[in-house]
Amino acid sequence: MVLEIRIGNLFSIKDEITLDFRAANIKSANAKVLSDNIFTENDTNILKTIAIYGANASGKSNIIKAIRFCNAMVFESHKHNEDTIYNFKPFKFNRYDSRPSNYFIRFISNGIEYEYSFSFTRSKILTERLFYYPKGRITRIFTRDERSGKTKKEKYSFGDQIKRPLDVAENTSEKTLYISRASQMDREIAKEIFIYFHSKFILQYVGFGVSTIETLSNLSKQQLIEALKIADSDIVDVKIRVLKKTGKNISADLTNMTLKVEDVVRDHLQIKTYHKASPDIAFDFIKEESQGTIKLFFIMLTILDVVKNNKVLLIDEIEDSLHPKIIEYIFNIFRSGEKSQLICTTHNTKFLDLKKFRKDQILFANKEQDGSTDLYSLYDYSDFRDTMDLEKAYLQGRFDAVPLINDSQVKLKTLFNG
Amino acid sequence: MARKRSASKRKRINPHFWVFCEGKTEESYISYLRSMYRIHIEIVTKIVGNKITDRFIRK
Repeated sequence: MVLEIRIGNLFSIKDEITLDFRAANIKSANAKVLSDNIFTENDTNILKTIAIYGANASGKSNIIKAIRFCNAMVFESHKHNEDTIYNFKPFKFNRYDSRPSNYFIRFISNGIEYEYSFSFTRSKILTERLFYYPKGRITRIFTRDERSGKTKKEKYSFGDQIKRPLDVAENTSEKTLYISRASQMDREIAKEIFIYFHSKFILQYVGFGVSTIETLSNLSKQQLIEALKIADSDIVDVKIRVLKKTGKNISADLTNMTLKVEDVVRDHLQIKTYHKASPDIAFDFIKEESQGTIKLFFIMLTILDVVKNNKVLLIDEIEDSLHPKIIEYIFNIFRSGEKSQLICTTHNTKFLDLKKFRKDQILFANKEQDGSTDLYSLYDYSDFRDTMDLEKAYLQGRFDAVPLINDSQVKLKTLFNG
Repeated sequence: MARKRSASKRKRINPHFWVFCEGKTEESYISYLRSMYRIHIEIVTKIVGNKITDRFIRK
């Protein structure tokens, strides 16, 4: 589970922003009723869901993108080589593009809290730190600062948790995160961190490989059908098969001007759905089902796995192709889960309701004058009272984070008539 | 657990202002100022006739 994420100088994020999952001490009657919106771990209340609101281009999606990028660095950077340029942009104005970017995450894996952070430019890692709390006390596992000397010994310092840690450091280039390399080199704590980022923190609900979809759906097929039924779908059965499809792989080599054509066999996913009205007639899932049904299917497949196994899920624009009732259903699934968590962005103001969310679960992304993204929660407003109409106040711009549209009739007429 | 959640930023919600004006172009001025200075103003147009007295404004 995740407790805190801090991001600085990535995409439209200039100064560091914080997503805090540790629940605030809210004692209102509304918050008391919403006891299912939090869970307790080591005597700390933790939020199950965080919803980010904001105008278009305020940077909501950039927050999701930044988390995806930094998490993927942990489980992919061991593949980097000397020609690697990281696929992100720092904040472009005020000379921030020459400053380092940074990522910090506090999370719990197998009951132990970790603090992991790194800073980087587009071409190299600058610093990296990992601490943990094995007996409630902060303990260093390793720190790295590429600017603090020439030798690996000068750049790194270690606790006693990783075996032969300097061997790993000697094999870690400036392009690679130490934790990623240490996991590849079979070091225990590093492997646990790697697995957390790779398998516990799910970055999106699409993009699974064929085999993952087949495995997931086989594991929870009946649950999936039930979950779809609750969402008012009339699908009564799903059959998923992996078929082998033959094809041609064509590759051109420009150095010796040759063209290579190979016969290849690829895995192809065949999904058939069966409906209540006529359970014998199969539907081709991809070609014949609606976009909303396809999204619901994949989102449910992921959510069942996330909620069952207490994972974390990131979704950008959760309402895309889905009815507000379905989104509420998704929020309710997380509410009924034990320790699973959801971070999502949305424009749906129906959920700006203190009967559905606590103040600390509602975040606003706001575009500042200099184009940067600021992030704050409704809990940060000391003068907002539970009796106020939250949705109305948000749309009025009382928390900023809404678009400023100049749509007076005079302006609109000039748009067409010049 | 390392530490508790960071303290609230003690922000204040944007206040409500009431602007009374005559004519239709004022709405355009306000719209323009709103997008120029990125001020969150909600414009609710109400035509109440041409007798805007002190008593009406207080009400």
